Amino acid sequence: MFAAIYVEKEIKQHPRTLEILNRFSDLPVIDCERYGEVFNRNAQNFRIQKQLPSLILAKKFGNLVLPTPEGYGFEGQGSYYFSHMMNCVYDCRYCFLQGMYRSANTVLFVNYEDFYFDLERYIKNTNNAGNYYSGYDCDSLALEPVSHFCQFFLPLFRKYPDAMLEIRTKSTQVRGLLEAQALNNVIVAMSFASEAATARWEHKVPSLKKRLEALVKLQKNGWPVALRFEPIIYTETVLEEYAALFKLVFSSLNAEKLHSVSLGEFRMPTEFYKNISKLYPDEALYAQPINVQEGEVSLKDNSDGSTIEKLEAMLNEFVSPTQYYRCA
Amino acid sequence: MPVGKELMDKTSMADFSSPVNLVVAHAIEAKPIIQRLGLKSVNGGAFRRYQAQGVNLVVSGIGRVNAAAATAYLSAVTIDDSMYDPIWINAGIAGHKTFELGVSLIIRKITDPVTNRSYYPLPIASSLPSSDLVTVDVPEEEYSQNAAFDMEGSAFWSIATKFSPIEFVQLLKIVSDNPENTINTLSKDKIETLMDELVVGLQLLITELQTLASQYNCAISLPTAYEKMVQRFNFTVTQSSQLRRACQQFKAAGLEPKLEEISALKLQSAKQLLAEINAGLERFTI
Repeated sequence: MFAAIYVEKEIKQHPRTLEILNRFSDLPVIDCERYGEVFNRNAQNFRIQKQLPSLILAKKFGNLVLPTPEGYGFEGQGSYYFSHMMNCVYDCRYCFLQGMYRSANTVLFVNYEDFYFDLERYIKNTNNAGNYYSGYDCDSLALEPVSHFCQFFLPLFRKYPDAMLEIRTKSTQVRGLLEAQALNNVIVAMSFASEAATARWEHKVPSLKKRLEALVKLQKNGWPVALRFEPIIYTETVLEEYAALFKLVFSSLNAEKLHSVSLGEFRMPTEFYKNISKLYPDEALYAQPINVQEGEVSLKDNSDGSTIEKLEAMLNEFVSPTQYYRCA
Repeated sequence: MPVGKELMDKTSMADFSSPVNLVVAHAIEAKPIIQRLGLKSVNGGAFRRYQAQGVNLVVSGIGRVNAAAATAYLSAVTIDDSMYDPIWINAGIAGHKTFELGVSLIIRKITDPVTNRSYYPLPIASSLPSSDLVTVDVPEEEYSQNAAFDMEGSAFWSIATKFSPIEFVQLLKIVSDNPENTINTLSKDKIETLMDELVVGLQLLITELQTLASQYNCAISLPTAYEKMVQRFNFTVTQSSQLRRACQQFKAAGLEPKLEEISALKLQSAKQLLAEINAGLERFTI
């Protein structure tokens, strides 16, 4: 999984660090002062590095909890996100992280206690409520056996039932959740793309079938689950592909019990798109005609321009309008 | 057949291999590499240089300034040899506090005590033990840290990573002295023997890096129509960049035959050509 582990000197003796180093005892361990020396340096090639990624154990300083970008997630009470990790062990060709980060290494911030403190401060300042998102800069559960993220953060949300945590993931690492008592305010939001899109662009990601199985288990155990159908990439057969996906997904899950369902087209900041196009010039996705608007790139819909609306109409057959939102 | 020739045959991977640039401090260190890789001397220039198909070696001289200058020099004199970024390797002897003599080491971290900066080569898969490296200005006789000591590594890294992505830059050292066998015990014969042993590790490292590089180079390569079009018209720098990107997009989209057709059209200017190419992509859907 990793070629080496970099460890910031300051957290070398942190119990979480020691546990992880013990787990990966056969990997080279390389000391560093700050993670940025390895993660943020110039002249890195994300694509080449992705073939030999390393794990960086670090301490996060500064603002650990941040307001979500406009249009992200649910409306209403304050929305915030936090990232105990940076980067993802999966290798989705459409992912904006490839254009946002210079490095393909995964950073795991081991000072969970500081995140906990900051999250609790925000929750208290939002009348013991608010929406909190994990998985914006990473996949929250993909490293769960190593990070024990759920084990640490679930008690906080058990303490504040009006505060909502969304765990965004494509992972099937749900054992920790299945062993814990389900919480109504912790939502596991699984991202899905059509079977063809999964095969073509979602490298190293668990199969659609296995993800669905994991979600079914969670739902049966009482966890609120959500579906994120994004990014929609316009292909000549996109409608047929998603019709098949919706049929499969909604025949497996209890649609009425779903916390929410969302749909979002492929889009990312122009700068990230440019970076990724340079890294993957051989990827057909980045040969598609694009729209550029207000610093964001989206794909041109070369059909009649109403693919998203048609997909929404399909979704309406399975879920109620109150369960659905379109990602801005 | 010289080992170097055999190595190059194995690692050339069609046309997508990167050139390999080797920076070695001393002629005595370089001799076994030159012999085993079948390199030939290149006359003239500021530094002694050797070459075989796809491999260049420069003898930098001792110390950081020489290493930096020789690395820049080698880049300058070979930059037009390939369209792909070169692989860079600094190979040589080093002292070490704990490793025994003759142990080949792949370097995971380079520290420059003068600037107090550290650099981290890609931890490439290797059966060799790994080590930190400290680059010093005078020979290290105290072996003050559990690390390898050399006099060129940090400077080599700083310059080589200006010409290639860091993933293509590596340092390979063989332990020549330690607290039990100090630097004063080194002799010409001993260095040659050690470096001869290092060549085995060097060949494996080149193969490993060439695999990474070839895959990447193949992915970024341009379709054959690109060369034809470049020769037909004069392109500005911006137009040239647009043409490259558009050609890559045609290739990615599986539309190379269409690109060939466009390249054969009777057009008057680079601007017209680019307009045709862009129109060709406008309706593309996966």
